[in-house]
Amino acid sequence: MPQSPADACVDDPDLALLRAAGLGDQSAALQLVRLHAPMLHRLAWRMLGDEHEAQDVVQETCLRLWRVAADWRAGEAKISTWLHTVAMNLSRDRLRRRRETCQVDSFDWLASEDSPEHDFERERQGERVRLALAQLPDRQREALILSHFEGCTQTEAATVMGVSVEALESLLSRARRSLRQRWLIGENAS
Amino acid sequence: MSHSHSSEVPASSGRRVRELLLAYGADPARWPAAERTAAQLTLAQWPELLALAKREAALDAMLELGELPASMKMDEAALVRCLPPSGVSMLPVMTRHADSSMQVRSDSGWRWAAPALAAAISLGIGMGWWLPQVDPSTGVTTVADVEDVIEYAQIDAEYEEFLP
Repeated sequence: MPQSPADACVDDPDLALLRAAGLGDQSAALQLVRLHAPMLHRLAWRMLGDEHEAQDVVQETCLRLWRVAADWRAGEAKISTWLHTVAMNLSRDRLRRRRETCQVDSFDWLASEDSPEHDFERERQGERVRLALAQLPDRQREALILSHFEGCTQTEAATVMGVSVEALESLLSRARRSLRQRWLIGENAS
Repeated sequence: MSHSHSSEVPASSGRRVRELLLAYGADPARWPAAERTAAQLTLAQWPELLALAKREAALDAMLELGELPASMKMDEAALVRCLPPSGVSMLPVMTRHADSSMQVRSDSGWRWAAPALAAAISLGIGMGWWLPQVDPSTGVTTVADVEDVIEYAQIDAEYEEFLP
């Protein structure tokens, strides 16, 4: 264990909650879920494009957290990074299975029919953007989701993806270049 | 890249800022914290980089449109489903016990794999040696094999007596 528990608590604000949850404190567990489930849900939803599958991924991620809660080794990984990694891996597994069984990626958030009329144009553009994101290569999409949309730091995003920061930057650059070309955002500035 | 400040700004800094813009976009808040201040200073001195930042800001604005609708969030029931299952203790001792019991189950399966394979091979060889063999030249079974067949017939006959 590289750090004392006290140090780790300072570094990772979630550790005290996880410890309490590991001892059976349901309110601490609920607090952890409230803190992280929405972020995991967005991440899985962006990856899978399916609300129900995203919820399954969040549940499975949390279940795995509870399994390791009692034996969590402080200082080895931040809980939020660990959660991101597990959710990302579970999403990747589901995408792989979906493709193996020749199912078409659904991306149900592409078509949102209940948007108010005055937001129609904005929603239409939003759909365009989400469609473009969905069509990026998986690794580029993962990098963009983590770094741009989820606000992960470079180190966190690279850790979740299991790549170096340099590789993360390369994936991000390629993703952005793809989107620029798709949306015809001026190339003459480069 | 030609600009009026080339003698004041190291080319490597300009290149790095360009990399940051292309990877993370125009918002310095997304840049690595350790490089942020220096990169912003460099950016301010290079018109070409400012033009690039403007272009990347347009892309950032497009990406913002791709935010998921606010209605897409987990409801309370879904959050509650993420809690530890009731009745399942996460106390360290219990967890270790649960893990170790799973390990034992897993180990016991593999422990029997090798003897089971050996038994299957032995049985296969034994059956091959013991079952009636046909002489490939004559197509006739050996005498010992005929006796075996008779034994089988007797067994079948006995069995038939008990049939309804």
